[in-house]
Amino acid sequence: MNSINFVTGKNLDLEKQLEKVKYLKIAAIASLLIVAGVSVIIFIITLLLPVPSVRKQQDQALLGISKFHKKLVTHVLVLDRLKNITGVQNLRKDYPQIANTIINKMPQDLLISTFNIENGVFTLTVNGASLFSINQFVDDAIVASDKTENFKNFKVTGLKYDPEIDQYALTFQSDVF
Amino acid sequence: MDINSSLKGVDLKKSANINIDKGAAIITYNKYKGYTLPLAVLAISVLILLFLLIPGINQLIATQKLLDEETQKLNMLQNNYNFLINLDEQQSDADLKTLTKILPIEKDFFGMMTSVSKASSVAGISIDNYKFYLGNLSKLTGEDTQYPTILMDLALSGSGVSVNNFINELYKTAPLVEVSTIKYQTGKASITLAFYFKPLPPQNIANDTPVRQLSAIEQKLLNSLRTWSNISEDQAEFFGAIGSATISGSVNFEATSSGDVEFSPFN
Repeated sequence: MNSINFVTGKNLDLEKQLEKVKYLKIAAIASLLIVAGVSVIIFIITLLLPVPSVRKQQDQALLGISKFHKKLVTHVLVLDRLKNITGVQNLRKDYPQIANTIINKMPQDLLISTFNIENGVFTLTVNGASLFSINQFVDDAIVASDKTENFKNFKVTGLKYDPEIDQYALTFQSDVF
Repeated sequence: MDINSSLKGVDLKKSANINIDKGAAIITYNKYKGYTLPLAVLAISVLILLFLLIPGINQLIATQKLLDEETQKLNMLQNNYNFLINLDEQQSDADLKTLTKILPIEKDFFGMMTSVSKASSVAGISIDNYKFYLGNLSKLTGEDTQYPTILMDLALSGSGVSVNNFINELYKTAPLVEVSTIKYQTGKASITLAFYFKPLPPQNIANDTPVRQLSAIEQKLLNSLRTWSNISEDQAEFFGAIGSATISGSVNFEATSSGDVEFSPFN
């Protein structure tokens, strides 16, 4: 009975610790290998990116373009002029178009006696012997002015009869844009 | 781990007067010395991560971005090259001349006079008088965003419809003009015109300047501008036009106190 040993010879704590150390070593070596490996791969990929090659091709393309420099300058200036012409056309007031809207509706037997466009105000006085023509012109002018956004506050400001010359004078006024 | 193994290698006789803190440190060291090497390797891994891998990734991202930009620039240059090879040089030169007549690069009195003369001929009115306001005579550059103008007062004789035709014709005649005011009364009209001009942009146009084809809107505008009158460079045409119009008088320039210059042939 004295030879019976109930205590195991293995030290469980020590074994656990050795196992932990073993895993830690594996993890440490693996992390070192991964980090170092990825670093090397990234370094190689960075070196292999063909930036110098692309720049060389750019130089070749620029050399080719330099032979057409005059064409390039001309085309750039054409684009510049077109841009500025568009800018001016958008900026300037299109008074001819505004005047045409009304004057083109005028019957043949009427005559323009005054016609002003100043400070955004359009006034037009027409003379004629026929009240029928004047009435038709009023109707047509009102319809035409309604169709565009150029006119605002379009109104007939006067209709006079001059017995000496037997003529009617009709005056329109409108704000124009 | 028992205390005996922790104190392994420690000569207890020599260290009889060892203090308790040092003893504890030695015990702790012996207990954890197996962790030292893996932890050192991990620390080296972290250092490589911080000082090599992360900067390397940043460098890769930056280089890739640079490559994308350079590739984009290369594509642009190759497109420019292909576009310029196929560009009709004569047509391009002619278009530039036309557009420069329509929006002159400087004060174009010749163009203004021919414009007024041609429009008056077409509309069938006579020009009684005219006056230029030259404005500031200092040199403008193409970088100015405003569109400078030269004002011109015109006195005309003709019917109301003719005056309207005249301003319609002016809007289809080079150079670009804006009618500022129209005052017409029984056969006589006075009109104020503003002729636009715009200096060219700086001429240092590099070979790597991006170029593009004209858009559909620009092409349509260009086609319409080609039909305008007064875009010919033939000076004989000008004198012929002047001869057919009823413009006459001597020319005087007059400086005003503001530094502006007025110009009228009838002063």
